[in-house]
Amino acid sequence: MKKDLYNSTNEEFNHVIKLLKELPKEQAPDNFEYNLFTKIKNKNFTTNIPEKKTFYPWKIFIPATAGLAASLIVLTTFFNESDSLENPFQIQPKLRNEIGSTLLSSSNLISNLGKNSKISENDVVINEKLETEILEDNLQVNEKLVAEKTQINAESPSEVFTFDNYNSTNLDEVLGEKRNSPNIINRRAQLVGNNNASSFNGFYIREEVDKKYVETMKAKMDSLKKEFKNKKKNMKISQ
Amino acid sequence: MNKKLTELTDEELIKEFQDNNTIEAYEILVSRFKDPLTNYVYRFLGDRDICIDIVQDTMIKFYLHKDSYKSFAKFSTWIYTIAGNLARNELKRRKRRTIFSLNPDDEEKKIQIEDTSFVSPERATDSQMKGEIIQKALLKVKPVYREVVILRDIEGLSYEEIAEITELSIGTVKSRINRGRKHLQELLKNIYSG
Repeated sequence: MKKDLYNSTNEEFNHVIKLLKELPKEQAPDNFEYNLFTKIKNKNFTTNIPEKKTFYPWKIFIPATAGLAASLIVLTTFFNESDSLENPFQIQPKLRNEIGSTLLSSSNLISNLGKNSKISENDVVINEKLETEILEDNLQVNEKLVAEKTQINAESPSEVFTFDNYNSTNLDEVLGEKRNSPNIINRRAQLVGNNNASSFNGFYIREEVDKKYVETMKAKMDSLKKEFKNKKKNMKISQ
Repeated sequence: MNKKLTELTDEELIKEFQDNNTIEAYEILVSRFKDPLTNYVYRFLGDRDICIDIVQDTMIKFYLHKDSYKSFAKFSTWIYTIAGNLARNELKRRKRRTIFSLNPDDEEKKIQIEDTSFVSPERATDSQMKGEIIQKALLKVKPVYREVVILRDIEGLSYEEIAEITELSIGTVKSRINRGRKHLQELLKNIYSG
């Protein structure tokens, strides 16, 4: 059980108290007052307590470590680029049509730049005409491609993909009714690991056509068309 | 005039010094408190030279900041508070020095090193020797307990006065005194068991 020191009586420590009371009283030296008044008279109020000079070897590292810590904090808080970096697995892949159109437009631009090195009014007009014609052609091609793709996807999805038919498996077929088809049996052999089986490329999933996306693309193309028509009109008016 | 001043209480003297800047009043107060303060600081630090310097500094602070004393407090508690603060600061400074110093000749280390060569009860008959032993034991008690034990059992101040000096509650003062005494009792059992 803990002793209650707060309420314990002095009797318990009588001997200690007696010893402490018997201690000889330490007295100030005789010249105490003389020294004190001379100090006051001379206005010498600095402390007499000796201040020994000590050497702290790690004292020199204190500002360095503080600076390092501060710079680390600043770097981590203000220059943290991990958020700005895009995860490559989360980037949506570009459609083939988009890639084609961008490539075409960039090649046109490069060729036009070459042509525009000798700048003249006629050249500018011709170039603009060429540009509009090329862009119109591109748009038509793109439209056709999109239409083809949507048709193909709707009719036979397996044809769209470039997987090797013999080295891959259509999950739709596997999960559907055609379980006993000769192709699937061949796939099974591949999966089991027969000696004659060639390398297995993997499964593929049918890509559903996003109608909304197609519609938005169409709308974009329409707007571009309109813009080019307007440009054409303006050109004619200016001529 | 001087006779009259000597008859005045501490509080009356400080008032005289505050109001009229009477240096005689200051001198009387110094003569009244130099010995008790020297005893208190010496018992707390265990170093006579530094204790004298601290008491001198206390008196200088009293001289310079006489107006910071307010009449509702006892003069003795006020001057003990100044001396106590200076003594505590000195103790802290020494501790820092003993921790960081690389100098092997550092005098302060002697105080920090634990003294295991306790004198046998037979030899402790001499009062001077006894005093030394008690002083060494006192220095082994934690400063927070040591301070209040000195003020209570050596200086003979009341619990209320100690509470005012240390800025603690009376309950805390009492418990600290008892803890200090208990520790001292354990350290000094050789003296009074014989």
